[in-house]
Amino acid sequence: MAEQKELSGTGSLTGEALEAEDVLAGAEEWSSTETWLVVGSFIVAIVALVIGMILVPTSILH
Amino acid sequence: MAQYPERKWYTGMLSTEDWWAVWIAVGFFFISLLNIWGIDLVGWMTYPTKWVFNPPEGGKGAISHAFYALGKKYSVSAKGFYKGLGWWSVIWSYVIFGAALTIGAAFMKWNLKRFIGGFTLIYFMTIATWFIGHHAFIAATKVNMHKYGLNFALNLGGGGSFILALIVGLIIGNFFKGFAAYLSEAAKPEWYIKTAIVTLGVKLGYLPIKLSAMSQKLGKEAADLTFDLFVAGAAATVVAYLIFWPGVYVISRKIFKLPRKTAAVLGSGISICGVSAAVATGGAVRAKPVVSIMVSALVVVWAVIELIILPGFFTHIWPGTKDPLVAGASMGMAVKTDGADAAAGELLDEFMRTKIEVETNGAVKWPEGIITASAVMTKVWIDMFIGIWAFVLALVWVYKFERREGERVPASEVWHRFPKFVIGYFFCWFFLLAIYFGPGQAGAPEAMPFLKTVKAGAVPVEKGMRKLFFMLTFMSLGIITDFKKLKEAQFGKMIWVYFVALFCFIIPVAIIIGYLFHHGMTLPNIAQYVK
Amino acid sequence: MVIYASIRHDGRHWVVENDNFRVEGLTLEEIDDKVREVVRKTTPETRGQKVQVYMAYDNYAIPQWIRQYSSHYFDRVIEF
Repeated sequence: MAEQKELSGTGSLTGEALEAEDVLAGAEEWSSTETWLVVGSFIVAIVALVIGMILVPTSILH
Repeated sequence: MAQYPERKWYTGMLSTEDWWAVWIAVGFFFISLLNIWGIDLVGWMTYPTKWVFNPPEGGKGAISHAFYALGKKYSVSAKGFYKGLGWWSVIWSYVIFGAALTIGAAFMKWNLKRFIGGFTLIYFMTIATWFIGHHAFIAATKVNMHKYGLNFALNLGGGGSFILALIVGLIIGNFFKGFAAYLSEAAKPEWYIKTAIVTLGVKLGYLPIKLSAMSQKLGKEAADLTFDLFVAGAAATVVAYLIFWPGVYVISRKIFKLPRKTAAVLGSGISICGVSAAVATGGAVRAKPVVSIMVSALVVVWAVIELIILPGFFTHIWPGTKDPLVAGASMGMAVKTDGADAAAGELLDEFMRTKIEVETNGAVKWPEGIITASAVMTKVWIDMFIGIWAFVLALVWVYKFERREGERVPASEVWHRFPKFVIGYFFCWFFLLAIYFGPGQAGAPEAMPFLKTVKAGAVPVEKGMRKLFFMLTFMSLGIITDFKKLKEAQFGKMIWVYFVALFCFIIPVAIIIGYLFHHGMTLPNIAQYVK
Repeated sequence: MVIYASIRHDGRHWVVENDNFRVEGLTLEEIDDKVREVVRKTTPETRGQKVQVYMAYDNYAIPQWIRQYSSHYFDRVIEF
């Protein structure tokens, strides 16, 4: 793998050679897993914010 | 099957820019430490100083002294030799740094002929812009312009050189595309900045040593301040990223109706660490590489736009010199890619230090590099965090969304995505801190002769090498930034997602979180100790 | 038993290969099916054994200008 030769000088993919359509189109339905991921992330952020503000000596709480 | 070995923990140590940034910067750092035993092998590193065509009698600024070897000022054992180098230090630096980088390029199997040709041109164009940018009209401030016989100066400090290098690079990248293509083998902003960031670790470790020479109390304050930045930066970036990513994901999915994988990659790309995050997330969600490549192409262009706008905004509009570290930390969270962020941080550092000096008529001077460090600290934390977040996303995508039979996510992915240059950055920082608190006796007067030998080695690396690699970054960043990419129709929708997410969400949130964790942090005033 | 291979995307297909086989597919599902089939066929000693195929992404298939930012795309592991 690491010893393989360069495929085409600057890598085998370039922006021009790529089909962009399926990257931008075909949005799936919003799923409950996404809700869980997004809300979970926000909740962890808020918990980290509160703990961080309490623990970090330079936060505005100190 | 020897051709397809398992990826081991050490795979890539000799074949990636990430590791080569560590080898080169840590290599020069160790060589610099030979000064402790009276051997100065780094004093040749070149550095510019302000100049004018006609220096006033008894004033400063002769062109013949516009570049000098740093050993002339700081060497303990070979001051006389390095004093004689003058402009020749430019050639010494070219040959020695060029050789070190070429060894790296050879191990990475690049086209050496093109690399050496490209590096030579980029190096000398960089030196030329560094020289022009240090004309006192550009670099002097109203506090010191009279020394050069001037009645007016642009007050840009060292920032003028960075802006010039970026402009020259952008002109080449956008109007001389054939030339830019030739230079591309050596136009590696991310490699140069990773090397510079490792030397920034030297800077952080050296700060207490430097300030101890002024007063022992200041030295301890500097050690405390860098540690505070370390802790505050960690908290701020984790919070910021976990707000940024879902926010951009929702904007992409709900407002712009993008598919899941594209939204996930955009979420990471726009959220903080740009290209590296876009690649890490693209891989994690098993997207076709085209998604990461498109997002990356956008990121590098937008990052340069941020680099142009934000340092001036933070310096002159808000928060200004009242909260320089809020500005630095916010910069680290808002500007994408290590290169553009560190470059923006360095520019901010120059602008802020020049501004405070002008505002107070020289009564307040801040040590250089701390504001840059605050911008880099948040970025370094996020570079590490993205590996963990990408692992979480891989678990969600592989086990929840796609559920392919038999597929599992190896935990080794976290290590493979870990930014290795960070190891060099922390290593140099903590190594010098150990010297400071150990044999350096926390800056006690009796340890100062010893610390002076450490300083003789550290300064060329943290000042000469770091600034040169920053300049190379600005120049290369310009060369690879083609604004025409934004015009390409296929990016249409993504450009708008990026614009809305960046200006309406990322930058404001970055500022708020930067404020919550860094408000009120002050920089030590060294005005009474420096000329 | 672990079998190592490289994986890359050529702009249209996913490609998985090592010294013994090379398969292409439009989706990862297609790739996985073909890999299972070809491994059983080309490596008879895997029959009746649990096999793990470790596919390391071939970095040389990533454009060179991007590699300086991140040198790792993904490694996939499938078991059957």
